[in-house]
Amino acid sequence: MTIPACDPDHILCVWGLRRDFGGVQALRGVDLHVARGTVTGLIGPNGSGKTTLFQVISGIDRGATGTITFDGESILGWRPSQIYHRGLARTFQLSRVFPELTVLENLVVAGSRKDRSADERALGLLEHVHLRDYADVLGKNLSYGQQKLVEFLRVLMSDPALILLDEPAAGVNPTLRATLWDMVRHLNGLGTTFLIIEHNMEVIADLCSDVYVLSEGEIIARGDFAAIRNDERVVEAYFGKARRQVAT
Amino acid sequence: MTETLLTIGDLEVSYGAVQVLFGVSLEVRVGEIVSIIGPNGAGKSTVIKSVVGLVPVRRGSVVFGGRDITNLPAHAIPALGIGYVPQGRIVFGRMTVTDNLELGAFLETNRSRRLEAVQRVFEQFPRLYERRAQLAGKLSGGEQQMLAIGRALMLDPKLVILDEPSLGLSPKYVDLIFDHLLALKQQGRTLLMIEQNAARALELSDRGYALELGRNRYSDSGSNLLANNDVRRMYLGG
Amino acid sequence: MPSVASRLRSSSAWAGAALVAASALAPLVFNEYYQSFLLQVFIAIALAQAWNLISGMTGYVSFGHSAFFGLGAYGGALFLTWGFPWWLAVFHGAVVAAILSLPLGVLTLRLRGPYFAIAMLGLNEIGRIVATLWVDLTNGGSGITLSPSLLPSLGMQYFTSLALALGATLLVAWIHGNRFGLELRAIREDEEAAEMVGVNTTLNKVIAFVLSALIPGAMGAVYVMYTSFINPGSAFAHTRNVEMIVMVLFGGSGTVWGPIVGAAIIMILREMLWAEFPEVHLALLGVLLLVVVLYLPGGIVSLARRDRRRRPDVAKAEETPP
Repeated sequence: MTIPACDPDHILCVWGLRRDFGGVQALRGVDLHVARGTVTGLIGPNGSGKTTLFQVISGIDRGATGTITFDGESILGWRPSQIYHRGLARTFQLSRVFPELTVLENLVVAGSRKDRSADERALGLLEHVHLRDYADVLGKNLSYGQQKLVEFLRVLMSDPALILLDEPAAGVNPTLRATLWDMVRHLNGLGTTFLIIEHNMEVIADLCSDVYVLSEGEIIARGDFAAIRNDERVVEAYFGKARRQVAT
Repeated sequence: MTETLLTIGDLEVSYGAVQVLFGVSLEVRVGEIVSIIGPNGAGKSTVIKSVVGLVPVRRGSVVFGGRDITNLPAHAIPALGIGYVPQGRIVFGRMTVTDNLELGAFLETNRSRRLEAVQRVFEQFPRLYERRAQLAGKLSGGEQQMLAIGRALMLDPKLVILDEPSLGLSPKYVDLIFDHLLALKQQGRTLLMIEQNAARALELSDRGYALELGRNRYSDSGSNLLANNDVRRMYLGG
Repeated sequence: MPSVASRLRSSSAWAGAALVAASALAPLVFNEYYQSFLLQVFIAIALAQAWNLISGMTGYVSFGHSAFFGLGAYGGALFLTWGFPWWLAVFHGAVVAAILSLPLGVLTLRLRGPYFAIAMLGLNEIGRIVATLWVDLTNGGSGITLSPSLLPSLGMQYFTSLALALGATLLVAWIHGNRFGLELRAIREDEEAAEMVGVNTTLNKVIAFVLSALIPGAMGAVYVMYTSFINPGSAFAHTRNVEMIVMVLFGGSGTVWGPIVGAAIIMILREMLWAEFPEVHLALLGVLLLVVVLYLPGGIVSLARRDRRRRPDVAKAEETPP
């Protein structure tokens, strides 16, 4: 079976991704393409399969079938560490900072082994978000918002071409949230591509040039947010459908 | 004028340093089905958890049957006459259906009354009767949801609170569960639920409250909310 | 890396050097009894460091690491009976343990937490059973007795065990401060997240596992030379397993000095009690374990370190929402 070609303008192409969990179809043939240099949004109601999609793309979940092409290479079946080194990084919904490592160690371990100036890079990143003073603080002693920020900085250490963000602002106070989104804008300006799962529609509207809507394991709509928002199928995905037809 | 069973007044709740409810109010009258709907992050689950004592309330009040129950510990709730069906079909997988149900009535020390309650639930849910000796872990999702509801009914509660009863169920079972909920109302029980499937919930409900980002946004009869386009737009940042 | 840590390291480096020097000179001062005791302490230290490497630093808690000690003991004993020089026998012990640990590691390291621990325990038992049944090779339950002519002097044994204990400690210290050690600790903290930030968890785990098998392997051979006798029971002894674990936990898991302190204290306690109350030894280990779990999770060395790595109070003020 020939794999459909991925347009060089697209950094990530997903075709026909299917994932079954013993009878439950979490992903039913997802097609998704992320254009280089964009901030692309991934929205959808709870349980639609967004996190599962990230688990599959990032290599943690290796039970899916279909095609995933990243930067021209097929990465389905690769280990997460291989995918990371190839340039695709991902953050988690709940902070997974290493609790007994210092902030600096958290960052350095995510950088390249050959990088002689890893410490400086890490300190530079911390400086950027005013966390330089926390370099020696253990991960577990940070506030939750700070942990999420450090987790975000962590994946920047390898200078990835594409970053998957899974609800990066969840549980974070407004100030740190603003810092986070500023960093996303800044990095996007420098060429990094983002695919973001978010529930806050304001952020999606503000940041994303392209939005995919996932519902019950399939993509039901794609486009800019203004168009998505008025799409009947999207509204129905979120709001549900009454059993009896109601005249609106 | 039907009596008010539950009143929530100006509820403020925080998880650590992050505030999630900024003064939410609602009321449930006897014999009603009331739904709480709203987009992700609205705080719907938090409202429910505040009522059943799983989350501390910083400010505001929860009054049930004329009694202030704000910040009562969770284990005191069943004795008040509130049956809680948490999200996710929490059943004891390695125990039988019957044992699961009996556990729901552990406060009832009289064994024969307990068995009567089990019989009542079996009449309500014939499917559970068929599966009474099976291990709960082997049931389908929809059957487990019935079991969770049945267990909450064991102490004959005045108010049944359900957290996302249709979550993760196939369409066939969603229909079935909602039919059962309607039957419960017809028997005179009062239901308060939060539902992701807003349309189905509102269709079933007498009244509804739409929350957004921890605040009341709309409240009206179920059918009015269902017909209100603004409510739909709310889900996509409207 | 912060200067305080390097300052710490250099003062403990001096302390370590002093200890090694003292140990090297000990045979001049102490008689054979104390030399034997110290020899056993060095064996304990090396085993503790090996366990520390795979369990303390990498987080894969093994309940059967004495399996490699047993393999090394038999490997060494056989080489001696086949006429090889004793230092080659020590080397052979290490090699046997290391080579077998490779496939075993690949299999067991797939398991998480309690399953890995028990699988390792199983390994120890399998070792004991094979040693008992493979009579042609191991002489079964009767064991192998080595004639003194094959063995080096006590002095040579002493310095060999000192060298191996030193080597094990230096290895752990080196790993602790380098990139490999950082990756191991990340694996211990959250293996999936470590994988997600580019750490090749499988390769790292296997390397740590093989290293942690090599040391007990060598020490097993040294032990055999010391006792001049080996049988399945003593090679794959349970007490050794428990001792290894308690020594590290009591001293301070994941640190460099912890295993040394833990091993020394427990060996001394054991020596003091052995004459009067030999049965108390295991009970004592149990008590120490309880003490660690309840009151001193960081072990003895955590008493000495002031953990300055808490967050500054400034942070708290910045965190409250408007």
